[in-house]
Amino acid sequence: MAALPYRLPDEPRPSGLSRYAVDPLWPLLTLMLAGGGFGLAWFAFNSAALGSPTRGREWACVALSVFGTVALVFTIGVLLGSGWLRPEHQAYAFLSLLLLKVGVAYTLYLMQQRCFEIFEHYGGEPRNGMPLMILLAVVGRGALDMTGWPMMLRMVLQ
Amino acid sequence: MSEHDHYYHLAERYYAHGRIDAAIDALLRSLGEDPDQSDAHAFLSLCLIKRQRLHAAELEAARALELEPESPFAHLAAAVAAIARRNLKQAQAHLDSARELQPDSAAIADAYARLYLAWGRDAQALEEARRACELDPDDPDYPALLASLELRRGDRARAEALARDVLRGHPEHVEALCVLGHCELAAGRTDSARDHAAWALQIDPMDGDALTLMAAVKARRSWALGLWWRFQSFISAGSRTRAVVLLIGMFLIYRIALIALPQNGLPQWTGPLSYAWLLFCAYTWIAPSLFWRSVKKELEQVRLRPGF
Repeated sequence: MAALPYRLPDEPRPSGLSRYAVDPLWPLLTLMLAGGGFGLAWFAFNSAALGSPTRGREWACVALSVFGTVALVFTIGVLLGSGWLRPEHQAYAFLSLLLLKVGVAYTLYLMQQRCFEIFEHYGGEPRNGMPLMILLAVVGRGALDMTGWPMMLRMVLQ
Repeated sequence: MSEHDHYYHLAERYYAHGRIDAAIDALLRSLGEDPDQSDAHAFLSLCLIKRQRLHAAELEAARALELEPESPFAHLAAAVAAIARRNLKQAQAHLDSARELQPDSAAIADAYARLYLAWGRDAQALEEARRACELDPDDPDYPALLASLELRRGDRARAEALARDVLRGHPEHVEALCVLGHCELAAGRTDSARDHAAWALQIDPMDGDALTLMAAVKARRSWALGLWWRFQSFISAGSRTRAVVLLIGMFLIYRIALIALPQNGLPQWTGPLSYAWLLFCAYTWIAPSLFWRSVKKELEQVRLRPGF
């Protein structure tokens, strides 16, 4: 009996979710246009759908973005309350949230992009993520803006 | 000959002809027969580096070293993977170990040359490339590297002579074709440079040097795409972390300017700044697809001249 070919450590592991895999560009754009909540959730799901060998690290990045945002909002609030941060510098301080979210998004994109290329190389057929991205950017974002979420949650989801 | 050896030799033949995917496939079969072969893991690592699968390449090189810690080939593979990752100190440590185990290896001298090249120590790189040529005058890879180093230091005549020498014996040597293509481009012979790039890409469509040469040719012909190519080369030269830091840094500067301008009495500048940023985003969004579409079209149309 012929031996099974050896498996490479960076090869995507096929799963039942593979048919929902998309180019990571779509979660990245969703994060930018529809907010961090939708984008991160899609990145986390796409990681499982692609069978990404680095999915543990990718999910850790998602957690870092969510909990890091909470920690930053809390820290800025404390600094403002104690007078260490002047109100006119508040806008600059809030850029740290943007920095964290965009940094994590790019990192996730680059991690998944490599896996996605191999997924396609081995004949995987990705779905077109554009319709969902547009739906989330238009309907999802609108719904999010209208809902009266607590401030901290809004900061994470937007 | 065992099944493992059969596939390993097959992989060597594929690799020598630039058929990297076929070589990877043969090595996977070889390792399927016997997964504890250090050389096969190290060789697989070298193939994976050619395909930019650096994470897997590092793991394969580590596996090779784990199986045979005193293998110069395994150290060499680990060093080449570390160079690709730009962990240059680590690469040097592996190369030092490899040279201790096998002082007269041309492949190790070649890897040292590539390490020094990545470090920007061109004189040492040249010295090691010359040493590799002396140690193994029959391997075409070493004079091809020497040619690219000679071109880098500005000796175009010497680079051209070396590349032509390699191509006389090995007309499908991608690195030599690229060096010659760059020489032609530097001499202003854009059509000939394009022929060399097309020929190299037909042999290995994923070769980084060949794509760089084709891009340089395209950039020479169109200033708009050339501008994008220079920007892209600047962003992607180095690690992925550097690219992300640069891109986010630009975005951050833009956002800081949006806050700082009205605070400093210049609110009228925020509109033009936003439009400029939007244009920049649109340009970087559209230019890559236009660029690669044009390269693809070029490759489909290419007919090498009879005298090529």
